[in-house]
Amino acid sequence: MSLFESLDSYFSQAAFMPHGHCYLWRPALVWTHVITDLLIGSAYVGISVTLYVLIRKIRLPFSAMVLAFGIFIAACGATHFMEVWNLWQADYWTAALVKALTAAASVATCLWLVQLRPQIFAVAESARLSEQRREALELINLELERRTGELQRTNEALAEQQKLLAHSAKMSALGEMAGGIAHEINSPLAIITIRAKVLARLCQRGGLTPQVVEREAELLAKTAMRIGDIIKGLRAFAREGSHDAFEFASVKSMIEDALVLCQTRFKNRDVLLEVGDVSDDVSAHCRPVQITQVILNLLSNAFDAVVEANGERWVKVSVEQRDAHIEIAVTDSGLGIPRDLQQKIMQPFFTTKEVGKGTGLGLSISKGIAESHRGSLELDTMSPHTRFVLRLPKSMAMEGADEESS
Amino acid sequence: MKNPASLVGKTVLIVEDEDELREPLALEFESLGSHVFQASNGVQGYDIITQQDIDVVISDIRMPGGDGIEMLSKIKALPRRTPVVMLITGFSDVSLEETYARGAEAILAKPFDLDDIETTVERLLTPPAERWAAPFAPPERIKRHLERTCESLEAAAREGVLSLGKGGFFLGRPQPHEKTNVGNLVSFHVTFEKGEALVFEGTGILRWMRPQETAELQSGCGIEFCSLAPNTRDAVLRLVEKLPSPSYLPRNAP
Repeated sequence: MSLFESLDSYFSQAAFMPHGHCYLWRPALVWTHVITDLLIGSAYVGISVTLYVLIRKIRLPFSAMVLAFGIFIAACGATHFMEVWNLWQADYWTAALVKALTAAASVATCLWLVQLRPQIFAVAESARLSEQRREALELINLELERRTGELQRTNEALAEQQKLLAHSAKMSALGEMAGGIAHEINSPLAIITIRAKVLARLCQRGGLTPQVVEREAELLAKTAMRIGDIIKGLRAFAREGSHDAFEFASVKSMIEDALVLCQTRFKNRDVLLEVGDVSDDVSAHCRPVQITQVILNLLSNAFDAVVEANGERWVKVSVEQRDAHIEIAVTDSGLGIPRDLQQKIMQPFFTTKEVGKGTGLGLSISKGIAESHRGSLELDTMSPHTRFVLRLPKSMAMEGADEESS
Repeated sequence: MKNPASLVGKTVLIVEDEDELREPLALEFESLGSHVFQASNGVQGYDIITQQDIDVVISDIRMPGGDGIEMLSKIKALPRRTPVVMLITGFSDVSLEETYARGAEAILAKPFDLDDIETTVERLLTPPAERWAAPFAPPERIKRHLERTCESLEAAAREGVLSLGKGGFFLGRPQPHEKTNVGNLVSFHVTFEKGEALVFEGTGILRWMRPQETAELQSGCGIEFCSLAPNTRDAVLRLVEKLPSPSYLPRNAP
């Protein structure tokens, strides 16, 4: 017998009995083994395939390890299939070979797993940390949401405050103006009361002639009209004006409305007030009440700036038409605004006036009004004298006009 | 009507930029027997007062070409004491207390009544000794009574309790129950314990009230003398005569 033949006989099945003989071919026992082994083997293969699909589809840590695991499990499955095969075929050498492969895969996987421990611990730790981070992030998110809510409420409150402030600035401007207006009105009132009384006394003394009566009556009427004009000028302060409709308003009459409220102040303090020629037909598309307020604000600022100055003291108002714009400029005899203040003057609450004399809101509100008209209010830094220019479009596309201004 | 005799032969200077107000006023004072000078601003007014014997000045506070308030200070710096009535327009940039402190004897707010200005001028043309000898107003007209005890006039001024002006006094830190409206009649009794055992007793009109202290000034009020008790009058007249400041009602204790 050759070596090959002897090996062949050594490995041949002839010498073995199928495994079924051990179960005495009892069908219940045989089939229990068949079914359970098939199920176990199938489950093992199923697990392996699933693992393979998983590492193909998602990036798992240690995918090579998982693959090894899959192979080892699949091999285990194969040993169970061999068990079934061996029930009828005594192919024990093949079964041994399969087992040997399984053992190799198991041991290799086991050793590899043991060796991978530190990395696995590290991954687990980092997973734990990232979980902690996630929780922390969630907390931060909640906190952020809470703060965002708070901010929103603060913003709403601020907007409300701003509205109130704008209103109180208006009231304060009105208060400042009240002095001027009181003067403007009380002077003609004094004329009326004194002249009426003198007229009555003349009558008592019998010194009245038709000429005197006529002269006095006309003078009284004229003086009363003077008061009427001032009251008309007060329209500019009778309401806030930011919700008024836009209209084509005469620039000249808006300037006159502003002047009637402050010209006596200029006259009485010897501040020369010069108004350049403005044609009646120059008009701007605007809310006239607001524009009158801006002009009055500029005039008041100019007055305050020069009234205590030595030397020449004047304020000039001029109007120019440029392409699509109308420029209303208020210039005073001051020598401009220091460079370091130029940026600040339009900011809310910035004022160089002493406490109680200015709110610091006039220019910022005026600027807001100009911008709500698609115009601008700027300090002319090129002018040798302090010069503010209010620029208004001659007409503006209505759909873009801000409804809110101040 | 009033007693025109007090205005007869007096020289009145009216300084007012509104011709339509100044002219009827001038006419009226002339018809009462006064000699009237007119000016339309403070500079012209001051020129007239340095050249003429003026008994009383009526002046607007703010005028183009020369302020009334500056003229007031210049008049009060002159050796001759000329009473000045200032006309204000209610919301002047110069406060009542400042105007009195600069020496104005009276302030009238426009619009005022012709009778009021005549009464005021007549009152100022009456020398203080005579004016302050008027009988006390009946008690029902007196709104508040002010009572103080001080060491001396100097100590009172130093402590900001009281300080004397040409026509009345500043009373510091009035108590809440002492506060009353401007224009109301008050009675006062101030005892100075040291020195010549001085007493201020009389009635006065509250001319201004500073209810809260400010950065520079403490709270207080200005009270103009109306009538002074006989035991007080001579002493007050002597003290007032000696005062170096022209202030009619001081703004604060010095």
